[in-house]
Amino acid sequence: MKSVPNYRGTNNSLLKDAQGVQVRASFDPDFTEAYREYLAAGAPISSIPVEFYKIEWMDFSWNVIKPLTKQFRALYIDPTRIHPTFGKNQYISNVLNTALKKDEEYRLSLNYRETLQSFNATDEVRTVNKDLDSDNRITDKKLTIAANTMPAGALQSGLQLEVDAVPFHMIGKGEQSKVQIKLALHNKSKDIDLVMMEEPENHLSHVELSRLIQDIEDQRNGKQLFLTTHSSYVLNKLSIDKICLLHGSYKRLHLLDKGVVKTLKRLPGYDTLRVALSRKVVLVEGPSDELVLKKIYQDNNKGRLPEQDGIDIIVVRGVGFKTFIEIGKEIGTAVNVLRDNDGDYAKNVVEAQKEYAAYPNIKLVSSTDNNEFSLEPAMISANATSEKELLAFAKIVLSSVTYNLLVAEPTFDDKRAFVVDWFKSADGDGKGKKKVDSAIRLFETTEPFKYPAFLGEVLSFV
Amino acid sequence: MSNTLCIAGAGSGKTQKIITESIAEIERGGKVLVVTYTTSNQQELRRRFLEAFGRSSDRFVVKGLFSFYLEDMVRPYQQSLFAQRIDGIFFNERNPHLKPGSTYMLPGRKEQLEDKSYNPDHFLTQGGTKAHTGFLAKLAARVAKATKNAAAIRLGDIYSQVYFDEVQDLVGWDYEMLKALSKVMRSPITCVGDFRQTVYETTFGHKAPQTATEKIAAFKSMGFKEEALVRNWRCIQTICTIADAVHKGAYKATESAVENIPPELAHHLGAFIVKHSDVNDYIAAYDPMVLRWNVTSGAKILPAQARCYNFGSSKGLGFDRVLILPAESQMHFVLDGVAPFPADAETAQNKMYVAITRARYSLGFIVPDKKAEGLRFPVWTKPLS
Repeated sequence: MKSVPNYRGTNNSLLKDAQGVQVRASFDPDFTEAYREYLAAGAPISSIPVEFYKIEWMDFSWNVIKPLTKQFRALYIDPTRIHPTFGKNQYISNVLNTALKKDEEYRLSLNYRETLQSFNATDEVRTVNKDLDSDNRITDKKLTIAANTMPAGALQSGLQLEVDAVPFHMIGKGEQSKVQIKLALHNKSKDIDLVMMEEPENHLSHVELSRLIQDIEDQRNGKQLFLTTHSSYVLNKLSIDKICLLHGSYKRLHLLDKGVVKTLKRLPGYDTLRVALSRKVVLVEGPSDELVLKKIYQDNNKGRLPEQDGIDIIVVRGVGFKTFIEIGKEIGTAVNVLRDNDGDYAKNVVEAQKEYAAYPNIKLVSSTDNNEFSLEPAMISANATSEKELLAFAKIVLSSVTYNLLVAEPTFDDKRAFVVDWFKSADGDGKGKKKVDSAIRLFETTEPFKYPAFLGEVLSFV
Repeated sequence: MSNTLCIAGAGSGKTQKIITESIAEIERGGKVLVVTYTTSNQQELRRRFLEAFGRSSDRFVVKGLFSFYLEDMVRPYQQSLFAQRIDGIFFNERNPHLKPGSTYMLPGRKEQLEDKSYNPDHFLTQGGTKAHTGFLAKLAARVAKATKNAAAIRLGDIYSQVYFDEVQDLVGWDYEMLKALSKVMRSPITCVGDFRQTVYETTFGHKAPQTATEKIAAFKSMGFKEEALVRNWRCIQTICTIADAVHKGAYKATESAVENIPPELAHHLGAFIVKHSDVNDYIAAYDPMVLRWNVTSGAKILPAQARCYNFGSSKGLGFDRVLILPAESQMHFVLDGVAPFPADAETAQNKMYVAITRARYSLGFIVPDKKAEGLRFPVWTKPLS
């Protein structure tokens, strides 16, 4: 990062003695009277009255930054704004600025004008001009047609960028944004300090995106990068602790556990933004938990799904609960975790609960009964107060082949043991798929069934 | 590198020194700040720099004292005292905390509030958006104290050399700022000025140092190395010697560096007494610049066509011929030249010094006819023609 000691001071939100810049858009007190009159006229205000606002650039010493003496250069990249005509000059001049050295640009500009001059001197142009107004009926003066060689902006308006001989604005949006981003990063004239990028994930396939992000990460060379994103992948890959969340209020994640940050840089494919962007999150271990919880929620809420009420159920998969909980801890998202007790409630759940005791927004829920080691035995025991009830439940969740095997069991106890045993998974025996099949059957049934109280608790937020 | 106090007598080329040294510093890759009090001197510095360097440079920065305080000493660290941005300065002609026309303090203007926090109304205008110029130096000192001189460290990171020009105009709290800077700033400070030319005050109040003696002592105790520019490039030796007499050997003797006198002026050189009754003739004969205390001085004596300057505003200027209209408090210097100026008449004394040192070749003192004879300067008589 370059050092600009005049930009140093403590006028920033952290009150930190540092070099920096602030841009503030605020109501301009010069317009107080005008705005009052506007209101008095009874005009409706349904949007922010930006016409009465001013934008101020100041450094952290709170002195005004004037455009001419600004000691940094920023480049703004928004792939969605590239348009064949609108802003083309601006865009080309950006490219020229970033891709060429100053003297290269001057030479190019001069050469371009010279070439146009020689066009003006060609026989064809002369012939056309000779007949244009030969009898001076249009004007007494000499009327001619000529290529525009006015120096200002000639280069920008006359040139275009081509990729494989295709005009830049005609190539794919993804390629456009990639080229633009990388030109900015390489920045031959070395005069760009800040790059602002709008949603680089747009228009790119996953593989392309991951290559681009890797390039951004490897080649930014101390340039400060501001980018907006809705992609967890971009976020995780560029370090989730750098995020500033604009979500109701302003929130940073710079204190996030370093181990979590590292895990996510290595495994960026996890939906961390979902924890960041929801107010209520339920973390579960597998897809069957998700389906069962959704079904229960629907039954209790007149058919509404949890996501319709702002509750996001996230299957944590490989990286485990901790990664997501740590993010929730920092942001303050209400996180309810449904976890299996794996046959030892005291060891697996109570211990973990202690770890989050200081965070009222984090709630760990599990069955307290060690026999209900996971979702399925808990569901079975909730629906096994009688043999009749067990069979009704089994009819919903089991295939007819399995159900017939169950019915063949002699006693109620045998029957219950059969179902519990049937869901027990061993490595590679395909029971995971059976669990999901059963959960889908349960999700789709119209038959009534019961569920253990702790599942209701997981879905309840204060 | 140590800090320097450079006592630069009138006409000694102090601006030249600042410009030459600044250009050398810029060429070494440094960045220079020159802080000065009057706007005319700011313009003069910029003009002379442009002349010498050939183009402007963002490595040569000239700031007025108040802008310097606000932009570099207060605002960057104002959060330690006041959260709302101080937008600008409010120039105080008089103490803003006194009831107009009296010495009674307005209520609610004390420096500290009940809870010992600093009172915005002491330092800032109502609403807290502008800083009172009279309390700006004090505010800077408070900010420095609350932030362990952070502003001085910042300044040292920006500039490799800082000049305070016209340092004679600094008083009281300004010295707290100098103290803070000289203590922690890495870059050297050079203070240039001439205490014989103090005619403005930047703050009111009675905080020391106020007098020239106190100020020189203050610099000494801050560890500034003293240096004097004693060559005078403007005035002939006779005039330099008379000027030195105003402060009676308190400073090093001045040597005139003027060698060539334009032949068309050579017929009238040195100091003369001009009688009231001869003023019109004298002005008609030499067209001198008349220097006086203020616009009302000499209304009955001076002819309408006389070119006039007040003592205070003639600072920094030079004229071939000067005619001084001494004020009551200065007359004794013209009449006997032996009795020193009383201690409480420093302004009168300094204004006399400024007036004398404006003259390159000839100097006239206007004296009532009946006191004109037998003085140490010859009485001018109209040449017979």
